[in-house]
Amino acid sequence: MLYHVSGTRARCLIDGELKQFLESGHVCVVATRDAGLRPDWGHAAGVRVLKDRCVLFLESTTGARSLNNLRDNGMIAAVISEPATHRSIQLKGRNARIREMNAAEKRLAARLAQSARQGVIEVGIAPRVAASWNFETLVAVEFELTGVFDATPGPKAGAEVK
Amino acid sequence: MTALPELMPCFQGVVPAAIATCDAAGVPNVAYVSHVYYLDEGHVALSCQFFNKTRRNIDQNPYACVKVMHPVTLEAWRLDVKFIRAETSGPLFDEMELRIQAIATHTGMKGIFRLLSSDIYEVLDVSHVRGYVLPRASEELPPARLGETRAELRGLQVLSDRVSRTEDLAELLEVLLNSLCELFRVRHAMFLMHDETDGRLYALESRGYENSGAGAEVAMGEGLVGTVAKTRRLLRLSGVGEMLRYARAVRNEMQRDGASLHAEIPLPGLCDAQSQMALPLVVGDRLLGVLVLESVDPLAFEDWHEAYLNLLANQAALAIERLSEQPDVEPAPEPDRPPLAARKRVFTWYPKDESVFVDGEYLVRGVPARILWKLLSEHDATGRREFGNRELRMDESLGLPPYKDNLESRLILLRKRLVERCPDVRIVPVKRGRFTFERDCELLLESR
Repeated sequence: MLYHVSGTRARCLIDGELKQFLESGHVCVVATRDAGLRPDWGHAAGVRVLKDRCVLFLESTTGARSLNNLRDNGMIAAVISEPATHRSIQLKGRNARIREMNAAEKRLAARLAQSARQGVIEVGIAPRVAASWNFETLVAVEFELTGVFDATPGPKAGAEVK
Repeated sequence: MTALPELMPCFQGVVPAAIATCDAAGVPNVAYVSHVYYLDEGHVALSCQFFNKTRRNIDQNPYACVKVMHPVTLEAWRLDVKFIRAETSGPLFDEMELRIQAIATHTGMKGIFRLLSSDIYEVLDVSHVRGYVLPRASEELPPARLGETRAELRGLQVLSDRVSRTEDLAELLEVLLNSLCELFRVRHAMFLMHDETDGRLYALESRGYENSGAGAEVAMGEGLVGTVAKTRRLLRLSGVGEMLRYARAVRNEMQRDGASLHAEIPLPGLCDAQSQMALPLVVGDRLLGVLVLESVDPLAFEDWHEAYLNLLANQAALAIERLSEQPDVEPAPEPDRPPLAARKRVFTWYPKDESVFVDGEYLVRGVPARILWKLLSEHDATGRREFGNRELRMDESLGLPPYKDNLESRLILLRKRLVERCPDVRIVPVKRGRFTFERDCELLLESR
């Protein structure tokens, strides 16, 4: 199944395999910025890819600054990365809107968080430490997708996924 | 604001860090960083290996936010930073490049996986990210190690005394590795001798490995040991598993892109090492060997290990040089020998490769092989059993260098290879500079 994503910055394609990778519960780190162009990072349980939008499950106790930035300008970037292989994809978006998660999203986010914990255990983090990784206070951040980029380390990192 | 030095464990490269940046138009970007280096209380350095989006953003807008994590508890910190400059030479660049070289040569990416610049950032603010992990893990922070410094200093003194008192090279290497295990709680250690005739390194003595690995070879410039040998600089790698995963990700990307790379080089050592430290043993301009310590704990070696063990390596190097230059003692009459068993071992000499095989299995090559072949041939022809280092030194056909010949270490290597591969034939030191050739089997010699 192919997803044509509309956006002014990029027209990109998220195919079945890529969608599956993005939604399989890898580690997710987020970037936002404030009005003075000072960046911030946040962490998320993962993403759900919709037709031309994404819903990201951002951890809010550690993400106050990121949430303020999103309310200010709605610009967002997120990298989804598989710890064992470093395969990574960067999503870029705009017009981000913060909202409560619905019941289905809560169930999905819990599964994604559990899978992310498993991913770091595979690279040597102690299971009891991985279990304490906090994904308990999540909010949904829904944004318009403007670009999808390969972020796996290497000379091609940053290339747009076409 | 948290003081940067308190975050030292986060700067070991065990857990990847991340950097958030933003371009002049306000589009944010986030990328993983393999290693954030601590420079001083107000600065960190990041390695730039590819001219990527992070680098382009930083050129437009110098502000960034770095995420670092404690490798044991997963606690996170935010570092608000500002890009100052990129260095492409100098001591910092060299130190960062050395680590990358060790990994690059190990993963077959020499000259491809490399450091473009060391990017220096001023740290504007450091804040602990409360709630990143739930309290139960942070309660289990590793206990402080108070009072250990004194014990370690005492350990260094004991080791130093033992090393000074050794009387031959084999004893020195045994004392060195045993004491490291006993006094510094090292679990895996090996010593590789530098053979100046072919420039390679050969494992001579080891502790904590499944087999002794005596004779395992490393080429100059290859992997951790070869890089340390080539540059003669101590190197400590933490989070080796993560560094290799990162390098292999780059390797896969390059291969997918059609690049033809060398195969990964199998190197002696632990296959699941998470920390490694290699110390060059140098006297003057001469490299004698490399001492390697390994651990499955990603944070096994700390700054103090570098300082203490560097002292020790220097002392061991002087001792090795002292013991390699001992005068040889005059021969004594040969004692009677016991009757031989009926077993037969076939030794084959391959002049082209300068190697000796026993019963069809590889035994040894290079100078130690030439020495063994000389002993076997003379013993076979005349029944002679006792030999001296001096006559080996005088025998031009063995190809020993006229000065600083490492003969002692070559004999140790030969002795160990025989113990492992052919215990029926032995080289037994009898006194300084002399040894006997013993066998419990019949010998059949052939040259091909």
